[in-house]
Amino acid sequence: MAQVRDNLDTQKHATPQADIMDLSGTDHEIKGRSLWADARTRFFRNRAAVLGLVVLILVALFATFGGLIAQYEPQYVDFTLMGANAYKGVPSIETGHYFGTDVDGRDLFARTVVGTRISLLVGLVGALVAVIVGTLYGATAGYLGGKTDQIMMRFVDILMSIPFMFVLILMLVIFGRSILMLFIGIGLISWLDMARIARGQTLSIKGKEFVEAAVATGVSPLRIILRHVVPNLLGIVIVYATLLVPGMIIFESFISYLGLGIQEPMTSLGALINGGTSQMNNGTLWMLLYPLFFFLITLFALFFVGDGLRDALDPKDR
Amino acid sequence: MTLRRTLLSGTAAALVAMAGSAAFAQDMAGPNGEQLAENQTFTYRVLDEFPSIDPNLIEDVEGSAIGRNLFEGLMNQDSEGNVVPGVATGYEVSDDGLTYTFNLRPEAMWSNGEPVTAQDFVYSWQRAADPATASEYQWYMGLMAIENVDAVMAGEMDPSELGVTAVDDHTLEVRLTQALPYFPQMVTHTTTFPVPQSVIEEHGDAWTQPGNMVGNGAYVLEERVPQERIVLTKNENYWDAENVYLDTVTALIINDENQALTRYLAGELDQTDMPAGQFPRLSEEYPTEAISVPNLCTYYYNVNLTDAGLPALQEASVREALSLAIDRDVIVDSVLAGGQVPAFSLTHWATAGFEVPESDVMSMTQEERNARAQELMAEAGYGTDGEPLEIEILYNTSDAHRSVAVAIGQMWQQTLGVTTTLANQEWQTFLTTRGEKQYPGVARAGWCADYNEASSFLDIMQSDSGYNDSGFASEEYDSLMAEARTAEDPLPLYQQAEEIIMAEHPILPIYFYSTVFMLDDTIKGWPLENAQDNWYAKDLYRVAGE
Amino acid sequence: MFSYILRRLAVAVPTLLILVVFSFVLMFAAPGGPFNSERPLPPQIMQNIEARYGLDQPYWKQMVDYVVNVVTRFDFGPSFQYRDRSVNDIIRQGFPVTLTYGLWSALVAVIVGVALGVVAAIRQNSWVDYSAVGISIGAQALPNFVMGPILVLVFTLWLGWLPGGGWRGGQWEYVILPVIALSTSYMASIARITRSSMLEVLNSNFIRTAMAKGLPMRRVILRHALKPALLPVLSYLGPAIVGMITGSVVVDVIFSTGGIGQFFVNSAFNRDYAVIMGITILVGALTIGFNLLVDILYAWIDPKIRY
Repeated sequence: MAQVRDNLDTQKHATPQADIMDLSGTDHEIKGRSLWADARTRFFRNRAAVLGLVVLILVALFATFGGLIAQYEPQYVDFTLMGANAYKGVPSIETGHYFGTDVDGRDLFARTVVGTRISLLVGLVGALVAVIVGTLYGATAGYLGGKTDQIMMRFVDILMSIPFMFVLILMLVIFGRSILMLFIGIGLISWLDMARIARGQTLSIKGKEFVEAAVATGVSPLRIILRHVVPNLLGIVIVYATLLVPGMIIFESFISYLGLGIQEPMTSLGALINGGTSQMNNGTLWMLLYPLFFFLITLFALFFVGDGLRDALDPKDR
Repeated sequence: MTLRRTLLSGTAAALVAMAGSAAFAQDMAGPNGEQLAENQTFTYRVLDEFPSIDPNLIEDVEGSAIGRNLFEGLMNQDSEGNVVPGVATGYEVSDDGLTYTFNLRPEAMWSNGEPVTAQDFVYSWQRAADPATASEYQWYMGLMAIENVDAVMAGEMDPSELGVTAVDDHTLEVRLTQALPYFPQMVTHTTTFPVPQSVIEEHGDAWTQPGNMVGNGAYVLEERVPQERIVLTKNENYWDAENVYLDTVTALIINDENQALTRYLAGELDQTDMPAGQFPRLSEEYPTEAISVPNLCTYYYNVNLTDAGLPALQEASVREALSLAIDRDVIVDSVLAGGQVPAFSLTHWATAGFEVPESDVMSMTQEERNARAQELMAEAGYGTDGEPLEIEILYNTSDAHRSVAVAIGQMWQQTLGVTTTLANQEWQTFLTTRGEKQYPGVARAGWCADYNEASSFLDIMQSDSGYNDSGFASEEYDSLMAEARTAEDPLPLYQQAEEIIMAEHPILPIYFYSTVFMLDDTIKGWPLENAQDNWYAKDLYRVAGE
Repeated sequence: MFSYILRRLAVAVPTLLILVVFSFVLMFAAPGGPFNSERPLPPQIMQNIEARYGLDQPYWKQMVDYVVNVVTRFDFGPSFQYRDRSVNDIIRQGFPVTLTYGLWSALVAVIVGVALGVVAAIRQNSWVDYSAVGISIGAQALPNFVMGPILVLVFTLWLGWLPGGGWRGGQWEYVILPVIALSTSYMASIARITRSSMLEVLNSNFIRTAMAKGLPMRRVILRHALKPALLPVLSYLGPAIVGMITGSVVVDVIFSTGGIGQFFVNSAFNRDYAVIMGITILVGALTIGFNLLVDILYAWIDPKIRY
């Protein structure tokens, strides 16, 4: 949870979005370039971010199509290799177990593919919930203002004071572990920061001419929020969402360590890493290294892309 | 003696860096004349904080071990699990087998110097049965069939009506409602240990805290930090203190078994459990330290025979096919790899006075079993060419259970074309689901004998048993078990009962447990022959390493 | 300011109440009770036990009794699982452990993280910067349940320098490994936050002016740039400290330190409602407390903030 908050500093910039608006406004007259084109150019000038993006695409391809290369089903147990992992289940091209086998004699390559897919999914769903719920909630609170805003944000304050790691553990223990429960749990946590950020941005957008113009022409508040406020929040929302994804993936891995994460026969990178760690001094280090490698490069890539996006969309850091 | 004790308990505080502690120029010899080490400490790992160390309340295996060191019951077990004198020097049984008279040794003392009397046992047993104590092991008192125990537990009778009396300070009389040939075996259990009335009345629930706690065992409680450690030191008031070698016994609470193993290898522990599947490697690298001994427990899958179960599973031939298709050798040799033994019966092969009845299955090869299983499945019209069958395997969350379930699921899939889904639940949820028979397919179970006798296993499949989670009901079985209770030679009856299980397959036995652990090779006296793994720290000692 | 604190505290009370009600509902909805055991207890015995813990009362009464006991006597009741001790005992024993290594971790994370971030910012786009950023991203990505066992493997098994777990009243050698495992990812976050806010400050006009005046770099950084650059770090500290306390869930399990995290996990598995409630309320109160503390500090340092 806490990991995802490290870029709250974006929030502290007085009103980056407003700055972008102003800048792009003047840019528009001089060069005729849109805000997004401008940001794209800046992003692609950042080598680390581009590298991150490439890695991310490769990882996504691996997660999606890796199963086609795998020689085994992720659930298939190779009884001939069981219990002899240390010398028979080693990674090898000949046996078709490119990454070796896991402790139960299953193909680690196939399982890493599945695990990567699930971990990315967990990150994306968490971020998606945050984006949708958080943005709408924050924008509504910020736009309506007054008592409604006060009450809505107090509610966020209250939820933020709840130790969610503990509540999630409790929920998973009590209602049984399921992917759905995990998504609900992660979704519950992730939107709070986003709501705060979106609200802050909305407050500054609210005073802009185009919003006032819309109000004057009698557009309904819901429509204003959806058509005028939310699109202008997108920049900061995207930046924050990118930085949220790795946080979600790390969080899932913690839950997996406690045995509460994704359940058999499905798996996640966190669960695979945990399985590998428990065999760490048993001479089968590949069980840890392959999933850990995918875990780390995915997170590195996400961090770099997130930083790149922030630099691109927030000209202050240039 | 006092001087030596203070010095040693002082060094014990620096337990981890024990190796180079102050040297004493004394020749200490072990029970078999071995050269003893200066350092007489023993440190072992336990999984979780002890729910309680009050003998009347103890409910877990690890708590029982602490209970056996802090207290001593009427009888003890020796290294082979035989009953030997404890506080009682012996007992007499009446001809009808209903009255036991225990003679207590006069030299037995509490750690505060008070003598241990028969009244202490009476108090303890009344306390264990008293509803106000609310002991989760109250049922054990019921199992002992003491006169009036059911009425006392139900609160209908005063605890003082319980059929146990102190004839004098050193004579205890127990009256039973039914003859139990294994009764002396039962009083080696912690629930029956004496507790000090005056201390409990003085401190209330806090009497188990260090400083308050008074016991009559070979050790006293020195320190207890929840979720971290418990330290016991030698009790100089113990009646046999001169034959107790270890000065300090420490249990470290370590949740993660792999961390525990690393710390064992780093020398921080003298004993720790071994994670599943690591025995082959460890026994190769540490042949004198990796140990596997049989343990009186059976691992099996319950098949749900009630209406909530799958219709296909109501057919005995389908259950037989499922049982046959489990390659138990792969499970014990590859999945667990810790010296477990394939099981085809409910009762453990090592149970005292029991012989597993002969059966064809055991002599077949796995190929023959698979072929037979496929035949049976085809006849029943399920599986590869018949109606598709999907079975859920329910187990309580744990890596080892998961590995077994994964393997069995694949065996059914690969041999019979039966698909499986795995479901795991947290222990408490799992117990409820299984106990209420709300699982559609099969549910994992493990049963350990409460006492070393076949009925401790076979009783659970009686139709009214609380642990009969298959919902198996057979009048024939019940009557055999009832008959065996009073039979002169119960073995043939037990075997007939076992044969019913082996024919009907209400459960699918998988393997017999073994206890697999690492034990420092300077620690001697571990009861490797005791199939219940009941160890007493007073029997352990550390020899000088060469 | 004072009324702001009062207002925040006024929110804390309903928050804790919501937490209590929510946890209670969760637990009553749960299948499986604290006294299920392998051998089902006879109903009579179950009744005896439930009566002892008041579990035979209606739910609302249990909840009200609980809240009354907590509020009036600060009594969290007896533990269902650990029958030798009350929840108060457990918290009294476990919380100081968690707090000790949590605060040490916070200290280490702030000092190392800020130093790393400042150095990276000053030497922006040099190899120092790149390696600092690389290290901090790596440190942030490596889960501490992987790092913990590696630390034990290296420092305990191979080098034999430090004990691989335990607490022993918080002797220094037992504190080091948990603190490393816990602080690393926070240190990394702080380094990244410091770096970006430092860059921002260094590019601002007043620092450029100071530089232009020819003041030495060192002095400019320490006297002028550091304070504004640390504001975002400060706002991160509240959630970070709370994170370190909840992070004890993993650290306790790996290092057997006996903190409240270990009690929480085990109690959740054992359905020990009393302990779960006690710890949840404690951590909830801490979350509120630390967030408030940080906000007050923030306001004190940066007078621009209005309430």
